[in-house]
Amino acid sequence: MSTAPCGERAFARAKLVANEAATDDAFVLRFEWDGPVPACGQFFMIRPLRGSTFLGRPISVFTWASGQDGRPGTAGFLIAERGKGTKELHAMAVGEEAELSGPLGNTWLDAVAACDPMTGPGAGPGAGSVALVGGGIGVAPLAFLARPLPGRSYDLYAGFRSAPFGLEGLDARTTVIATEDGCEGCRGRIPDFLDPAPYDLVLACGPIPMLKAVAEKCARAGVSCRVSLEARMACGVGACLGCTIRTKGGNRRCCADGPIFDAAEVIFDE
Amino acid sequence: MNETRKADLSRTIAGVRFANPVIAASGTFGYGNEYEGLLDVAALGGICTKGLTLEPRPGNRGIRLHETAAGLMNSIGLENPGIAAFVRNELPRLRRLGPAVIANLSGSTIEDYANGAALLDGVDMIELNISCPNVKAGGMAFGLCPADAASVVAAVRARTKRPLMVKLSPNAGDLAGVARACVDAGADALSLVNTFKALAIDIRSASPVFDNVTAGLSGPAIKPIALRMVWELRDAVDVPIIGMGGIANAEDAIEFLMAGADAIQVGAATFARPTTMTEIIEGIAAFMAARGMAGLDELVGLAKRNQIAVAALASGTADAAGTY
Repeated sequence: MSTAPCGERAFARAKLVANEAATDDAFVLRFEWDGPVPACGQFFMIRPLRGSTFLGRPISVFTWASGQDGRPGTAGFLIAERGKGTKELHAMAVGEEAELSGPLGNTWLDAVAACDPMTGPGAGPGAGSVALVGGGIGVAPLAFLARPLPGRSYDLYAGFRSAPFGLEGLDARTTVIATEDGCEGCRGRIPDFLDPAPYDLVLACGPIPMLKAVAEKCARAGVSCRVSLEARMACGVGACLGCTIRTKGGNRRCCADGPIFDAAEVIFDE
Repeated sequence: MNETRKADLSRTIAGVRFANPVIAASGTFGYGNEYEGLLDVAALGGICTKGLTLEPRPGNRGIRLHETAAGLMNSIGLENPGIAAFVRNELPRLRRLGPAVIANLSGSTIEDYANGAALLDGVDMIELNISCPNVKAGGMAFGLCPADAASVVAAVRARTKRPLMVKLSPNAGDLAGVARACVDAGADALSLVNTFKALAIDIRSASPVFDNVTAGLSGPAIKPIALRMVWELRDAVDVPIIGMGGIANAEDAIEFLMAGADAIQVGAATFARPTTMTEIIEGIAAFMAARGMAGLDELVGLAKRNQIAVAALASGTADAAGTY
């Protein structure tokens, strides 16, 4: 039951400064945030003040812009409308407030061991060979990781049901897009277009079946893989044990021990 | 008398002093440190640990949480590292936080409960959980009838000198009977209510949401029912009562105190807003200060006393001054 060392976090009201459409059912909310700065891969629990859901919703950070001249920064969240909670987030008007807890969870960089190419000594950023694999809304935490990386230092695989979204500002060496309806890129699902063999590290976020397929391919190729998972959460801080992830080392809490895990450790449910 | 004097929120329950009557409910506050940075944990009156069992438990498979209208269903299944690991790894740090430490104790058999209690000498109070609806053996099974409740309470009482509180299930048919049996068997206090046994069905798959079919409902949806149960139980037993069930703000908490609860616990509302408990403490203090109440005695049971006074007046058995 070790608790991952948690960084600074806060619970505070935050004002919505933008609500932008990303695609038919996905949108970007941007909140003023005066609290601790989020790291790539972390998430917030978000509950609109005027919402009717009892609990907040766990949402990964998509963008972060530091505030100038002592003003609050801006945290952006790429969200897909899935149920009542995300529908109410979508309906928020600029100027309305939400309650945010965060930043929560571990980061892509925590999850990548020191010998890995992106952070390892001597390797230098971008010296290794990294693939980022995102499915749908799962591109959000990967885009947050990738945007500040040196240009052309990583390959990007991104799969969508239909039109791609969330990839603005990314400068991958190679970009592979797959869409289920074939409207852009390859027709099909993104794991089918990934060969992990050339990579030192694969980082993935998306629906469980996609992550399972990516993890299996990486395991067969002997390539290290980290996955960002999601689960129903109540507290978001490791107290309620509602978001349990089964791993070879026993139960882990998606919110506090993750959301990013070594794919080789995760037991993907049938 | 001056208006700026702060009300004294402290309360001694079964010999344990609480700096205020607001306690984090079991299963919603981990082992005390998970919420660090999001609220002032040291300001709480007490902390109940996640439900502990003698042996480590992995908890339930499948979906564990389901949000409902003004509520939350859970089926965690008492996932915990076992009492020995809790005492070794969590308790020393938990004790240093400041609030009174209450260990929530569960088990599958009477022997497990009793052996577990014997390992918990380092806590301020034991809350005996005979009301968890999410485990197949033990748990709520002991809390549904007076004889079963008495046998587990007596067995635990024989193995610990720590103050013993029993957490009751709202699912018992004869709640007052179970409560009296617990007190007769040695309980020093009672806490209620645990979650209500409830059901959700996924209409897309036409099957229950939870692997265990039923799960426990908490949150604001249950508050008026929980409050009624505390009110009724206050007349049935003489030991202190810690009330809970859907408390989400100071007004809710004050209702429970006025109904006769000596203290209250907050659970699911902390999930929704981490600062709920500290805001409740401030809200109770402000409410008491505004009415010139010096201590919690004036608030606890106030609605009970008023009701008795009204009834006495109506029947002509008391004079208008009333001494209640």
